[in-house]
Amino acid sequence: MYIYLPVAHTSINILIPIALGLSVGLLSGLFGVGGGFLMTPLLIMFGIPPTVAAATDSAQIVGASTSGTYAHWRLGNVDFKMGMFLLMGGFAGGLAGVQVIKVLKAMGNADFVIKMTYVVMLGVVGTYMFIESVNAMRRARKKELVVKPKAESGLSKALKKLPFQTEFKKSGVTHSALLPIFFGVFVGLLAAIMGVGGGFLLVPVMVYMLRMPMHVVVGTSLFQILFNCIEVTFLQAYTNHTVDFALAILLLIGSTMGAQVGAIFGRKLQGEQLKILLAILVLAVTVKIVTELTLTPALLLGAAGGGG
Amino acid sequence: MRMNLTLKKITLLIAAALLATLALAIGAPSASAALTAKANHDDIKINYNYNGSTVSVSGISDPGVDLIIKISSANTDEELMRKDKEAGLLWMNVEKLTMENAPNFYYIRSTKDVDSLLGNDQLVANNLGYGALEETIEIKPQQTPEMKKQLLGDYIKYKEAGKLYSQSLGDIDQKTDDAGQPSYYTIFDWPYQAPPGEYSVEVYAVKDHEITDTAQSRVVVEQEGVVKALSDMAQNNGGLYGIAAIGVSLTAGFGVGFVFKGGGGSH
Repeated sequence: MYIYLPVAHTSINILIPIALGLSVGLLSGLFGVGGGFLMTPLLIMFGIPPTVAAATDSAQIVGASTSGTYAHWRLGNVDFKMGMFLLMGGFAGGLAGVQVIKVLKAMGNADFVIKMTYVVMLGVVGTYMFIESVNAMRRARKKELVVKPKAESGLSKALKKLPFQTEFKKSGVTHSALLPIFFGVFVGLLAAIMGVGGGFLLVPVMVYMLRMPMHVVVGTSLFQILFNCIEVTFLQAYTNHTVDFALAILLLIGSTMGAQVGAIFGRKLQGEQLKILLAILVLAVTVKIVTELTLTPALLLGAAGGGG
Repeated sequence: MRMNLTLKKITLLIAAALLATLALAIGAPSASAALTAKANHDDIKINYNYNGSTVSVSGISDPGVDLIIKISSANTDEELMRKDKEAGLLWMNVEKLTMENAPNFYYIRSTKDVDSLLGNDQLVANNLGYGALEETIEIKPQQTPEMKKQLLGDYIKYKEAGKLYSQSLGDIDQKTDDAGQPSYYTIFDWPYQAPPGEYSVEVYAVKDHEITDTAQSRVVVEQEGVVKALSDMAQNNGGLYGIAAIGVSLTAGFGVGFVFKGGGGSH
């Protein structure tokens, strides 16, 4: 059965967006990523105009991340305190990122910088997570997990001297409140430049920089993504008129259920297994982007606008 | 005397009948009637389950003419990105281009190849065929002649991929009825990608490389019901539309979360 999408001006078999929502929602609940970096290109592939695909995806992520956050909250996996500090930083970083894009556009090389940021960030994050997770799993297999007292690094000591030291009970860590705000700015800046929610950047930051347990990372990341996407959805609807309500609802039917299934599924996997699966996903997207960038396109023209 | 009178009456009646027949013959539609055009499905309504439509164009024509049928939207400007290699290695969007004076929708069908039917001047003057489009569409900022040719070719392929441009020949049925009246008929698959608006249908009769007659009709595509309500709200009341979209997304998220409560474990 086909449905006509009033803003995208296109007709689509209703099973397609439901299936896409289900798949991406599953990844969202499993890894704590919004899935925009997967969903937007998939929607474009099925004939949705790029600007509508990016804007509608953010509306869909609001539903999926609400569903995912709710599921993780019930499992005790959301650190609201950490999430709020990250949000504050992310908001400031997002504003700065928008200005950076304006400057780059004026200089005429915005697309080059955006694409290269994508490739470098996805490549570095994916490779690091993959190697680190494989090593951790090897150590676990060799029963080397006996806690070796690690000498505290200079950086770690310096961070502990920062003001506003705060205990994050849910994550079981103590950091200066400035640290999550700083990383929030960093992720918000990059996410704005790349035009994505930033979940796949935020997850490694929380795991490796803030030393949070993987399951709490997933729930907290979804909480942060929820607020980011509420803001983006409103702005896209208000300024660009590109949110397609009918498409968003179809995607939501799939993604909200997928997020719940992902959260349940994730509970059965170990943290390292989750990390390695996310690393593979991120590296696969990197390879796809690099391939697109290097192969000669069939046409020298493409639609103006579009999301990440 | 009586016989002569009756003979005169009969002669007059025959003469009157002959005159009447002659008059009728002069007044009847001849085989060289004017070209007409009618789009049979000229008011297409887009509702929630719309997946495209069909539009047939038919009419009468002079015998022995070739026909060109064009359905197009008004000319407009379209912005696109041009791709090129950056750093000699990576394909990127390098420049925003404006295709000026280009129809968003352009379907043309003819009994023979349009380029063989008319001279270039007439093709360009009437915007008939891809060759004519390539001469009338302007690209801003200006490109070298070679690049312009390449980009216009790519633009047509881009529009064809989006089902908004089509050029075909031979799919027009021409026949003559028992009274000797020639007529034509063709049917177009109307793509769902064609946005709401008014489209002009133009039929050209061509003989000996000259346009001998033209006829016009139109097709109107409009949204209705829920589709129209949502489209109007998105365009005219973006703030409320955004809040509604967020509200529905949040409700759906919590709703599904509540349904899955049993399976997801508890806090």
